[in-house]
Amino acid sequence: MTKPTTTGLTITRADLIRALAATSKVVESRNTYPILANVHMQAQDNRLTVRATDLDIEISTSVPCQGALDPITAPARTLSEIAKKLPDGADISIEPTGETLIVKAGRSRFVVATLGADAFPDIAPAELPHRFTTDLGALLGRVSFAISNEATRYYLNGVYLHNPNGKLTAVATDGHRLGKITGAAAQDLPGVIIPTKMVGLVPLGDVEVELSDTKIRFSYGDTVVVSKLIEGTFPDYERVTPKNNDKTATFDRRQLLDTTERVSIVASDRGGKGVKIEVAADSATLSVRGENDAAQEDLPCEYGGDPFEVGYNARYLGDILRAYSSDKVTFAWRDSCSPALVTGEGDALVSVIMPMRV
Amino acid sequence: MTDRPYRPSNGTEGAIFEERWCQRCAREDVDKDDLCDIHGNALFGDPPTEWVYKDGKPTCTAFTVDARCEPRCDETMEMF
Repeated sequence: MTKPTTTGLTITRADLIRALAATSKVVESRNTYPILANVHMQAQDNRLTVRATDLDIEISTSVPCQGALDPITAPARTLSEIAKKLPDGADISIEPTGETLIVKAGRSRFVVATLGADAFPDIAPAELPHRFTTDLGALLGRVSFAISNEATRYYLNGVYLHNPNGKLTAVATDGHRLGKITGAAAQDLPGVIIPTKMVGLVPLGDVEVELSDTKIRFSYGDTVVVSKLIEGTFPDYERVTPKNNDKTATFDRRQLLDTTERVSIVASDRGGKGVKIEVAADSATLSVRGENDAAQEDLPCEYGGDPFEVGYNARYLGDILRAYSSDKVTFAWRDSCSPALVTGEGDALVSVIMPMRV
Repeated sequence: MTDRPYRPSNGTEGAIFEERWCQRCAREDVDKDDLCDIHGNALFGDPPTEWVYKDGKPTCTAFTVDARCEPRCDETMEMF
């Protein structure tokens, strides 16, 4: 066993909370391996680096401190609770002693069990050949509503990032609805599927992204996040994206969303919240028929075609409408059994929603 | 007329049923390994009367939507 070469460090409460909050997002509440409930800590050159992983994602961040600490791991939740309960402005000292950490601040003293750092997994990749800077969070966040949570179709449990036509494009689908958004021009990239948990960790604003066929890393400030990618083939989504839907109706987005939410109050909660949309000249009627109840509401729309009706799952329809920020949304249909294309005025997001039988 | 009881015929079929119903049900807390009585009985005790065929599909009549993971809509047409 290596003899410790350092005696510990002192850090402000705010910095320790910041480091633990940034990394603990990836720590699961239940773990098969006890060490995954711990954070890896190491301090040198007056910087404390904290690292956590769930074996698929690793987050590391560094904060200023005084002193040094050889690599050690300690329970993330316990350290976070201690730091949060200490008074504002406290200076916290952390000293390794045998197989424990002594955490002290003011009159408080805690003894925290540790595990050896040697067993802490490291998923950091050796090489990530593709590098670019972009507002990745804005792209992924806009299509995340369509990510599947079906374990059996694991290749849909994330966002597909690729660059058709030289532009960075994010796509997500669960087979019932699809969201696609195109961003800035990008270099040649492999098409990759970013897992759902990673999607939730990407902040808004520019981040530096590094990519290989199997892993992605993004960095912002003092924080670096590495994730394994989903290995699988994303379906050919262009094949199901309607190209020639000629029945178009434009709605006030907020009004359509509010109406959908109101009429679906009476729907059953067994996954069958079907809302029927009947469009005629410049007006639409939304209706829902529950087991014993019914609801109906009219709203204006811009439509000049033959009367037409189609049904959607109210939750899917609501999710899509909430994903847009534009005042107007346009639905383009071919018939009531085909996918509809949804676009927003001046919005790069394009969605597809499948109909249901109502 | 009572609904015909549903029994998974093998482990895979049972796992598919659990994913569709139990794991998306508010009666069960997956994070705490807290099985509901019906699921527990299905695994270790008497066959539950709540597991039946409705419209030809296996269903749990006690299912309560868990807002965190609503079930996949059976009525919406598939893209792929």
